[in-house]
Amino acid sequence: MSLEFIGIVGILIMFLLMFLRIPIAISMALPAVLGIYYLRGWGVLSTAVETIVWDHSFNYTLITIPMFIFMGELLFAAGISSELFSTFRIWFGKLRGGLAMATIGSSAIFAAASGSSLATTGTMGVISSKEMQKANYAKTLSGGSIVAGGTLGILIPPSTILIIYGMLTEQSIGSLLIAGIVPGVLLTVLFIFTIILTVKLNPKLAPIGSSYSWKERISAVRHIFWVLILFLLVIGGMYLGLFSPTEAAGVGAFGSFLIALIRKKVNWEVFLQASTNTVKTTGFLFAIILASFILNYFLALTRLPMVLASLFNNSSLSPGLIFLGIVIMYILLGAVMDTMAMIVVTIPIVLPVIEVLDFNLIWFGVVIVLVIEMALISPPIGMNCFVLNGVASDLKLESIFKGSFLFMIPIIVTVGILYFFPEVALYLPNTMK
Amino acid sequence: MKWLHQITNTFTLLAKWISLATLIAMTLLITVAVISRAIGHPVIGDVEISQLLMVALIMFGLPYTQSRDAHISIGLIVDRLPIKIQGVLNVISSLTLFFVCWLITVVFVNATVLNDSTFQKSTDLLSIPHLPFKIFIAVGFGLWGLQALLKVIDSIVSLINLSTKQPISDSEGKVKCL
Amino acid sequence: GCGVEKGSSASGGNVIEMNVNNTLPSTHHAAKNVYEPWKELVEEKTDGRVKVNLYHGGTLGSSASTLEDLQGGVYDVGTAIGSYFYDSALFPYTIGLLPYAFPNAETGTKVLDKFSKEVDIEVENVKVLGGVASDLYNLFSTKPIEKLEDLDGLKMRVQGKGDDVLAKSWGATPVSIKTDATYEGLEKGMIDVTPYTTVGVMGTKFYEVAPYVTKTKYSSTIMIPIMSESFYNRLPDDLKKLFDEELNPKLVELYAQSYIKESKKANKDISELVADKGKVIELTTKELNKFKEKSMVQWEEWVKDANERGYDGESMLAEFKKILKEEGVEAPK
Ligand code: NA
Ligand code: NA
Repeated sequence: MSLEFIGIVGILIMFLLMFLRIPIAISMALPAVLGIYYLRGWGVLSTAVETIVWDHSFNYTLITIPMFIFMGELLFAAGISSELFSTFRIWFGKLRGGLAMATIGSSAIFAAASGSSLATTGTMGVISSKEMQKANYAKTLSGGSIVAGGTLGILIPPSTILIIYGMLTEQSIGSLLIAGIVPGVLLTVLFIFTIILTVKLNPKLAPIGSSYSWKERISAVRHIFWVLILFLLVIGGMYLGLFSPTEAAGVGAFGSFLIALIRKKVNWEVFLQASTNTVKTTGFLFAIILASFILNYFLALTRLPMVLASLFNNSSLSPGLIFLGIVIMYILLGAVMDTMAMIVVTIPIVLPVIEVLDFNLIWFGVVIVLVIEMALISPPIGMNCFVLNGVASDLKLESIFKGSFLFMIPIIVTVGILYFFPEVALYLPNTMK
Repeated sequence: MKWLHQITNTFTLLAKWISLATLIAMTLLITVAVISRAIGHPVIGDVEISQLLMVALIMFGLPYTQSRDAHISIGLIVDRLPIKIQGVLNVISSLTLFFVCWLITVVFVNATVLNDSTFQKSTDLLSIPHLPFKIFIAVGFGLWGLQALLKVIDSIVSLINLSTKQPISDSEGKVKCL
Repeated sequence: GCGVEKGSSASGGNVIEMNVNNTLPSTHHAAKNVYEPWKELVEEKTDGRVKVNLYHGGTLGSSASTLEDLQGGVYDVGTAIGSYFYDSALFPYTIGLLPYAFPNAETGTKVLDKFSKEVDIEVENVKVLGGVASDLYNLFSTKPIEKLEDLDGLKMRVQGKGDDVLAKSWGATPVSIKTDATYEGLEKGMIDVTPYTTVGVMGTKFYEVAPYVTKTKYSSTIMIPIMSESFYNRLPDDLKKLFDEELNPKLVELYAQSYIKESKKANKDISELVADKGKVIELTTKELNKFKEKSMVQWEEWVKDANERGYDGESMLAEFKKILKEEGVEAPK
């Protein structure tokens, strides 16, 4: 067996294990440790496991992840997310499809405080699915708009995926996070536009809601302030360089605690709930992160990434076609793979290709996030849809997936815009310098 | 077997509380460090303390995550299979889980408590030894592995029950927690 | 054929694979000037009997764990960098990190070579191929530092062991931040000063945001190319000889030359690069001596540290000073 072949066998075993309902982290770690043992023996395996697990736990950059998760959990626990939704409902409820738009809008704002798409989907899903059911919205439209709104969680900063991507590619995490702002706003607008168009073509999907006075509207806006203040503190502080992204996350978590405290929305029980949820999420994320770095070492030993990269480099395809190829590869992978696992497994393979093509790595990070967003809402494995199904089981998984298809179009459009106008992502990070 | 359950659960609960305390300590430390630097009295070694806390947060969080069955897996295919086959796969799944956790535990036990030959590292500025935190890794994965072992036993027990009794399942065909 | 060569089965006429891990990125001068040419040389001189798999960017392991990784056979050749070996058997080399030990990279490397031969450095399963000193550390700051007093109260980045002691001794406020946050930290005032080598800033571009370069010339990064002993033992005798006599010394030499070459270029370029925003400040002998005097605290700390680790710190220092003298360098007092 050639080394590369062993690498391919390892990846196939990983997929097999994943589909046998073995936890993703273990599916990645098992072929990796067996492969390292087969290639290099116990001594190398034990040293590699020791240094890899240590290096990626004793790690300052990765602290950003639990801190941002904590921030989102505290805001949810403090009831800020349901207030966000009601603000948007008061403003847009009267329009046809207004509650779906409110879902997108409040998801976008919540995304500014949450680093995870799953958290954003779960949080907004609880509230807005109930409201849309009550208002007799079609299950497809409700489900689709919630999972689509959820995808904004990893595009609008903070973003766990961009942090991991920055680690893997040695790019500035601050620049990456800030690069997500404009595309995030653009995608939010396109999502809303998609809803407007859809309900215009098929008004049965969403009835018209009740109307509110201007006084009520203006008074509702105050609920957005808290999250915006937090966003300005965290992203503004990072943008101005008052603190590093990791520190920004810590300050954000502390800030959201203060907000909850000021608003008297926090008690011991609520605080405990937010903290235990953070520990739980950190646990499963880091199991995957640690496993993936062990897998990456195994793949490096097989030289598979280098071989694949040189295949790309020696091919006579134009950069545009290679880019298209990479995007399609991610869409296909995203259909069947968990996104965090997908990015840590593929980035070391794709990175050399991207470097040869001279693509900007900050820009590419944003593109990757958009493609991952598609993965999150596409069957058969679309984590956002699973999460929504988990918190709102009366929205059937089938209708969620059916509804989510529509929202892939604006994501594809955004990828296209980014390809032809990279400045959309790069303008803000460039002005930082 | 009940005593093994009890011991594991007690230690997992303890691990959870340590993890929670670490999370809160980390948030406070980072905030204090930012503020004190802004007013001209930086905390020396804030970075390395955060890193050490991170090790504790992750390692004590892993077994708690398992106890809540929150490690992500893909049930897409298996969820639709007959209960008996699911039961067999559950045993296999828990065995692989146990194997990997046990392996990492062994690695860190070897590297820490059984190791006296090489130098032990410490942090750059405050010279805090890494050793206790490496032991945390052994403890975290050890507890996780212990839970996997319990799952193996539970899965086998429920598999045996299945072949003697009617399956206990909900409408969607998922095995309910026994 | 293209069969797998398991490390342990490599013998006789088989091709032996050697995994080399460069913890620095592929764009770093160590990749172009050191590892790539060395790979070619090894494959050429061994007539292809040794195949070098070169990994850049720390693919096989980070610089924090080079020694352990190599001892455990995670890869076969690598370079232990800078301050990561305080707690290892490579500790004696940290003497080369002391402020004002070396006047330049060239002498530094020579002194380290002699020193390592005098002080027996035994590392389990590791062949130490030599020690290389980088070009010297200067201060890159947002405000001009013409004299020691100008450092008063400035926030100075510290990272390695004893850095905080030195920063305080110079009157600065030590701030610990990560390498990747340094650029922004300087730009936005999180810190005012960072020590770095001039060759190093060509990559990190700290001079863009900290355009005042004070030539304190006070320390070096020490790099120690190392080879796994179990890999070495697998080599047939003729190849062992080839590595001992030619290839391994060549790796050290390439490293040393790369720093000498890059440092000449960097020193020339830096004045131009900061010309419109800041300037390069050459300290007067009197001022430089003040910096030196206030640095001695780190020398004292080092001896204490060495003794605590079970070495004879005083005699190691005496040996080091003797070698410096032989090389025509006056150790600071
Ligand atoms: Na976000
Ligand atoms: Na998908």
